[in-house]
Parts: sequence; C-alpha cells; structure tokens
Amino acid sequence: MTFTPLGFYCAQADLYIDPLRKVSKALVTHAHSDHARPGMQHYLCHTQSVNILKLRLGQRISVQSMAYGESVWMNGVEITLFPAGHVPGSAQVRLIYKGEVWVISGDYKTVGDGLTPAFEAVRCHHFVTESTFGLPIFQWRDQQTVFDDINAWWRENASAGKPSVLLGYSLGKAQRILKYLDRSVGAVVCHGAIAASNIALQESGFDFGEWKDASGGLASLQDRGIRTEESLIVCPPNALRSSWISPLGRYSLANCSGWMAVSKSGDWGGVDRGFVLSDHADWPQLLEAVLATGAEHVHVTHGFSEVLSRYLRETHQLNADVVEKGMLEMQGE
Amino acid sequence: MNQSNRLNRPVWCDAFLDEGGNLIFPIKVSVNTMKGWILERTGISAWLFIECQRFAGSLNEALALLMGTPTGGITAMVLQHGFERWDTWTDSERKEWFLFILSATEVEERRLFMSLLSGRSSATLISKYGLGKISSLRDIKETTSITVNAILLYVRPIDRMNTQYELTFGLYKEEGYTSCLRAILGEDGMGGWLQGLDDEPVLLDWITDNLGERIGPIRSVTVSEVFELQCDGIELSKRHKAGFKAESVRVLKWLRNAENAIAPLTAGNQSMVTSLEWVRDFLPKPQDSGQTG
Repeated sequence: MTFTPLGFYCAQADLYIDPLRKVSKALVTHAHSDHARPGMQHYLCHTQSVNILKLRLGQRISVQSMAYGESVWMNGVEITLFPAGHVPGSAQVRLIYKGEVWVISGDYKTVGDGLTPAFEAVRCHHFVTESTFGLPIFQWRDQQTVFDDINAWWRENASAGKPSVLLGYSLGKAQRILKYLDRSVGAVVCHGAIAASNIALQESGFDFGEWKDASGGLASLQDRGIRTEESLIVCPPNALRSSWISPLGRYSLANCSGWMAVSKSGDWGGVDRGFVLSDHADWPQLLEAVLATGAEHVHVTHGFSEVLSRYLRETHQLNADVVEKGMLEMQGE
Repeated sequence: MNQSNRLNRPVWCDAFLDEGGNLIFPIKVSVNTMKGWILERTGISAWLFIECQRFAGSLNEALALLMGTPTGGITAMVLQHGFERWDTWTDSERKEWFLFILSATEVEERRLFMSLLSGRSSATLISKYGLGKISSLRDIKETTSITVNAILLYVRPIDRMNTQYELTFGLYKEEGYTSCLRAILGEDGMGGWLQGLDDEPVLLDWITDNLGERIGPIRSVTVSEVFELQCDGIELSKRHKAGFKAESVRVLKWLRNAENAIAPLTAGNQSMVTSLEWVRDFLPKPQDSGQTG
C-alpha cells in the first residue's frame, strides 16, 4: 500500500481507494463527493452505494458492488468491506496480502445511528484513519438528546407560526435527521437534492419515514395542502443561496453539524440555532477505533492529523504518522 | 414573563444576584486555577490544550468543551451551598465542587459560570443574560428620566431574519435631525415583542417595507415616523455628538397619526419632534449637583 498523488494505491491489486484523479480501478468507500469522484473507468463499492453513486456520477458508470464481509481477490490481494457507520453504504476497506493486513477507514463514526449499519472494528497491522474532529474538544452528545432538541425547536417555531429550515448534507445527514423527526408537529419537506438521494436510498432498502418532495418549489406546497408555517424543511446549505427559499418569507434557520460544537461556528452562515450532530467520529470515538484495531502503525489523514498522530505517538506509543491528501495532491502537480 | 425567562438565563444564575437583581460575585477563582483543575481532571497535556484553544478561539470555550457531556441538575441552591462553605474548604474540596458544577452544566452555561467565577462583569454578560446593571448607571437612573418625541432615522438588523432591529431616533436641531437615542425592537424569541407595543409587528413590517440606503451595517428608513420614547439615566456628555447620553430607551408609543411629522422637515412638524436644545436644558448642570470642574 502506498500513498501517491492520486490517492491510496495498492500496487499488487492495481487498485486506488477514493482516488483524487481519473484512474482505471477505484474502490470508493462512500458516495460523498470528496471520496467518489467522476471519471474512473471502473468503480467498486458497497451494494448500498450503487444507486446513490449512479445518481451522482451518471447511470452509465461501470460499477461493481460487494456486501459487507464479502471478499474479492485481485492478483492475490484479498479485499473485504466492513461497515464504517458514516452514511448509508459507507465502508472500511481491508486488504490482505501475504499476511499483512491494512484497513482504510474512509470516514466513520463508531456510535450507531439506527440508519447506517454500525461501525465494526477490524484487526489489522496498518490502520489509515480520518481525523476530521481530532481534537478533545469534540465530544458528541447521544443523538436522542440532539433530536429531542431539534424536535423542541421545531415545535416552538410551529406554535409561533414560523417555518423551520434545517441544513444538512443531502446524503447521510439529511436521512438521519428525517428518521428521528416528530411528525406530529407538522410536515417534513425535502429540497430536491435531498429528495433525489432519498429515493435512491429507499430503493436500496433504507427507511427514514414520511417526507414531502419540494423539487417543484416551496410555493407549490400550499397548493398541496401543506402548511409551511408548521413544516420542517430540510435542505442542503447551498439552497439558501438560491431563489428556492424565497417563498418562505420569514423562517427560523438551524444547522446540523459537528462544527456547531464551537460557538464561533454559530455565526457560520448566520443560523439561528446550531445542533451538534456529526456523521464523523469525535475524539473519544477516534481513540476507541484506533485502539480497537490493534494496529502497530497508524496513518492519519483528513483533518487534525498532526494532533491525533502526535497524541497516539506520545500517549499510546504507536507508530503514527500523517498522510495529508492535500499534500499528495500538490506533489502530483 | 420574568426577565430570566426572556433572556434564557440559567436558573443557577440567581446565586450571582442580590435581592435587587444586581450582579454580585460571592467568590472569585482565577482563570489559571480553573484551567489547572480542568486539565488535571481531563488529563490533557499543555500542547494539546494549546491546539484546542487555538481552534476554539478562546480559553473559556476550550475549557468548557473539554468537560464533555453535561450531566444536568444544577440549581441556585447548589451554588449557594458552595459559596457559603468556600472559605472553610481545602483546595481539593473547592476543585471537586467546581468540577461537579461544570460537569453538570451545558457548554454555554460553563462559559458563563467561569466568567462569573473569574469576576467578569462585561457588558456582553449583562446584555446577553440580564445579570445586572452597569454600576455607574444605578444611581443616575433614579434621578434622571425623560420622555421625548423622536423621529426614526436608521435601523440596524440584529439578526439574519430581520426579526429584531436596533432603531436610531433623532431629535430636532437647527432645521435638521440629530441622531441621539437607540432602542431595540422586534420579536423577543419567546413569542412576544421586545417593546411590548400592540403595533410592534406592524412597525416591523413598516421597517421592512421602508428600508433605504445601506450605510455599512445600518440602513436608512423613510424619515416620517415619530415615536414617544422614554429613557433613564440621561446625563450630559462631552463626547456624544448630541451632547447627552441615555440608557434603557423604551418606545412608549408609535405616533402614526402624526401627519405633521412627514418629511421634508417643515415648521409644522418641528413641534412634533422634541428639540435637542430642550433636552439639554432639561438636564442638570454640573453646578446643580454641586460638582465642580
């Protein structure tokens, strides 16, 4: 396994994992755009990622899928996917060659969310971990508490006759939110980008409750008998920069993100409320995951990699180093 | 609705208020002491804490976040208990009490708690949580309050949704208006209205419909609306361009039928808007209170 300008590369299998540029064979850990890029000749991913991958990259892509625990062999390398718990269809990748075991985590969280299959720790010699929230100030509350807060905020807005708008990424965060909303308050409405993801994921077997499609615009909701003042509208952040939101008039705006833990983030985007909800591991989860693998070598990427790797070296005496995808990208240019 | 509800002030804050609702500091703990206790409890090394503080943007923020998930259940009585025994406690007992309180509270409350323990009484704390009054104004309030008619000149949106505005009002001076008084108006976030006017929602709509030129964060509005205002703690000022300053400006009434007040300024509407000169004449002069240069 090597770290190249194009991404993580297994030379023996001639396979890239979440490559940054066009390659022949790409194993994609999940369908977020910073991991699943267009232009690869062949894609390999988890079964539940196929629909969403085709939605985002085109119906004509060449894609092969695997279930969790299922293995394929490429030139003597055994490749197996395990649940990463990040978003629907997300996977960790285990590669075994001549007894050496590597695991590339992709993005993950170890706490189950009831929507995505829960993270599974995999024993290995080398563990490549993300570190998006790799500082001890990031410690998530249990998700039920967060959803109680979200439902209370929605209820309060609805009783004041004010629509509630909740920001969340269209793949993963939005569906996790949908699953735990209290429908007795009002209707749940989804932006077109989220509606498309919803449909693709429902076809893959996921269930996250009833929702209304606002692809045709928010103005049409009243015609369909939906009371917008009691509704909770889920949309991606970029929807606020379009005219799509205009028919709502006054509304209360909230963001769901791990970054909301830090008060300065409350001003990002000028939201009225920030709910701390992330699909990434917080500090305790990162440590738990790393230690559970039993890996002697830990390679840290994506986020606070310097901090986490130094902590693992000093506190747990692990061989931990930094793999920065950005650095790799620059080396290639 | 009481003030603590309106301002979302945690109930335990009552332990930091005297009977008159003024801010007090029963005990003081230095920030360094609190930091030492928290780092010892969490086992965070110095370099790691620096990284946390760098990202969080402030010491209090980083310390509050490090304490993890809140356990809940703190009341003013629990705090009072600690205040009463503080002087008899050992350092170890003080630390345990402090960490117990901190573990129980929400992150936002932790920041507030540490600010209060360290003896901070900044305007931010006072305005955000309504914890007391600026001490220098307490005495003035009782002696000098005034009611005037002022004309609305500018507004500044306070929140993104334009549900609250800071309004700047002017008084008449030399064939024009001089901005003098500011008040906040709009939704109070709890289903009510900050100024308590019956027509406050209508006024909010009027502002939205009459926004004019943008001057930095401020917007001009159509200069036509006159309001009856009351303010406390007014006194002469050499620095303010109007020559006086005031606190606690309240909007008593929107004089919507004041047809004479419609701009441009005419001899007729001068009488509707109180003149600056009248206010300055009203104010006690330094010699009135026996003050000398």
